[in-house]
Amino acid sequence: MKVSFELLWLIPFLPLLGAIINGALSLGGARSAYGASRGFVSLIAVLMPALAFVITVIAAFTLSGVATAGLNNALTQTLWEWIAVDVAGFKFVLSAGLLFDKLTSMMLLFVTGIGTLIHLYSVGYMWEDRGFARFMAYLNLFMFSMIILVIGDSLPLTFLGWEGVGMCSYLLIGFWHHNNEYNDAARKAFIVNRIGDLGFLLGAFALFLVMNSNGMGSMNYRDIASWFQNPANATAITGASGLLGAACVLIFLGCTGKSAQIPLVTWLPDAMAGPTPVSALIHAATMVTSGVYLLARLSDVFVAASAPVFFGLDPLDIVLIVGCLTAAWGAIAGLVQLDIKKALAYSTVSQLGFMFMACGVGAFDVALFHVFTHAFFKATLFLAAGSVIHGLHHEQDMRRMGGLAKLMPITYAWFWCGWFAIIGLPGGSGFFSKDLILERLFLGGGFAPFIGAVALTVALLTAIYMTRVMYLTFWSPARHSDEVKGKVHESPATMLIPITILGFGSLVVGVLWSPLLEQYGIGTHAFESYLKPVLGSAQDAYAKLAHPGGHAAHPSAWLFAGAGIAAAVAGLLIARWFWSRGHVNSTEKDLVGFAAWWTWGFDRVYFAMIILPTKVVAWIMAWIVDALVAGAVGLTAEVARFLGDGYTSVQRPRLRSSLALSAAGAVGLVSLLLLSGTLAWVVGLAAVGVAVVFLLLEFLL
Amino acid sequence: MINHIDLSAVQAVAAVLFCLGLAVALTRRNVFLLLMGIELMLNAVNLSFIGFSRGFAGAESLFGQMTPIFIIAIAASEACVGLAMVICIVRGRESLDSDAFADMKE
Repeated sequence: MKVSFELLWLIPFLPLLGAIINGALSLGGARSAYGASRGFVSLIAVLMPALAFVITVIAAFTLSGVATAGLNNALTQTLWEWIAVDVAGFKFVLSAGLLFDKLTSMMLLFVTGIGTLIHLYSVGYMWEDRGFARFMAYLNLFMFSMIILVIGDSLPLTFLGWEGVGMCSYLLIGFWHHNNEYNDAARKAFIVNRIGDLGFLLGAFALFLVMNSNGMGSMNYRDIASWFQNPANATAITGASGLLGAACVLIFLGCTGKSAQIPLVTWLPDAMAGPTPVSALIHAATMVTSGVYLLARLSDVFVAASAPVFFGLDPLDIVLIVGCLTAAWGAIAGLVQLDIKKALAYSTVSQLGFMFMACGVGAFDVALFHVFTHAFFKATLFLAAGSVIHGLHHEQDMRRMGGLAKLMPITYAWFWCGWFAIIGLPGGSGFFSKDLILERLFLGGGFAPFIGAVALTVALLTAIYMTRVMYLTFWSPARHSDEVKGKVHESPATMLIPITILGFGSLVVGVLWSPLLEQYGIGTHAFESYLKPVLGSAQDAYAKLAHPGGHAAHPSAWLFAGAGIAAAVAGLLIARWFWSRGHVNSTEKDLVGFAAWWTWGFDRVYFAMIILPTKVVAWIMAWIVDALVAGAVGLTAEVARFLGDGYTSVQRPRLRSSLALSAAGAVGLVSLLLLSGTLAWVVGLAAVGVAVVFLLLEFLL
Repeated sequence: MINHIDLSAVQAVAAVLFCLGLAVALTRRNVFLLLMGIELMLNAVNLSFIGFSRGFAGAESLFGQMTPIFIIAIAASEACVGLAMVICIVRGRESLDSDAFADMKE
């Protein structure tokens, strides 16, 4: 039984309303020197996501009162019939509907909650900017798209939100569009994402083909999930394993685009060109995790697609390997960054890799738990980094930071909390989620334990690069440039309040799923059991596949926790040994040597494999267009001009003469066509005679 | 009653109207009368279409009645443009004689 909830539409609509109002205000104030009224714009911009958050909380409470189990444990609202096709025996109906189940509610709670806080932060951060209203309008539009992405009840509706967040990401990365490098970064993000979007679309079509050929032509998530969960469809799924595998790989390609995984990883570090709140909201907490959301949403499909598609690897194995490679690549790149935001961006890439690794061993709930904790601590880190940048008057280079622990104590305190959480020191939220991932990897089947060993190494690297950031920014002696020396200031309250809430959250949200602390009475499995109605079936099915003989002996969870703590402490000490005096190994402006080679590696591969061939083809096409097409066009024009010149010499200047000649010509033509025999000749010749006589008269007179 | 009107009679009236319009357009030098002659020809054609819609293509065919509506619309816009052009030309040379416009071809 479906439970309808009539307020669901307000959750996406309110931010959309905010975007429309702020967009209008921005356009209305375009002519004035200072732009639209800051106060009113910020009221709308913060109020709308806040109201959406309130409604989400109400909906979550309503949902907790719904007793039905499994897929029916959800609130729904059908808005309208979107697509209705009934052609030549093919029937397809899709309504624009909203689905609010446990997965959606978890995502929406932190998307709207953290989103609201970051809107508040943006008020302080962007106050002096001329494009304040425009920025707020884009941010609200992003909230709308992100909410549609997670609340849509079908793949097409999610795709709508997926494209929407991509567009807002583009608009916000290139927000300071007077700088052409920023525009390049925005275009790069957009184009790379388009490749992923194509994968998403093709994957969705392939998935539809699989189900439609077995009599279930629907793109609704609940239909998809119930079809794949139904044991009666096992033979149909096995029969279509090739197409199904292709569908999964293509959808995962879409996820790699949005979530910046190898091979579509390069856009995220460049996306740091956008204002810092954008980096925190879109490129750390919410949008980049939508790939993980999509995998979790389609977890039944991915678990069912267990046939090998590529060198004996099934789709989830590919997810696992890609996640592992990306996590390692991002962590190593994070070690050599000089820009504080870029260091955090590579860290995000690496953490997203952790989430995909968890998905790859069928632990979708663990992946989402890491999404959840990461949203808190990475948003904290980014917002605090934004506060540092604000306090240092737009200095982002860590070589000219240092000593900020004393100058910006509040920012430092919360950055410290984010650092504490991300490197996995015991008690922080990252500690719990990362150790769960390590545990699932080491207990997984096949080659998962090897991946787990790599993941543990990456955890060590995480501790190293994050501690490096701490040393260079806060702990080492000050190395500020002369312009900002003595002018460093703490940020305004609108910026510090969101950092405080998120920083506190990044310390404590880990206890939502902390089996380690259960014996002391404060830890719970709350997060896991919360997502059970949506993910339980897929995860049970995966567990049966991975461990046909039941679970192996379960070592103590403290073993993995101990390994995680050891990695964190070791990383901390290594970083302390290297960077405690604020030493940075390069005094060049840009990255050189290994740093450049490693972080730009993908850009170079893309340049050689895609950009260069495209340019060559474009050059050839330009030559063809110039020489052949333009030549043909010019020739046509010359012919027309030649004929026209000839005709003008016959044309009579006097209107009446022209009219008479055309009348005579018409008579002649009609008589030739319609009359027959001598009569035709007589009338035709008469007409020609009249015309000739007329012309003669014309010349004579 | 109207069914008894002979097709050829309608066409004859249309033909006469057309010839009148042509004669006006050919013989009168006043540019406004020239335009009026063209309008007359157009309306003669309309009349002919209407007549054919009755007797030629069968009673249920609307084609003969649709086309005049299009022609009227196009003729209206043509008259607009034509009159505007004529007014512009006339202002420049203070003459309504269409033969006086003959120097416009270079």
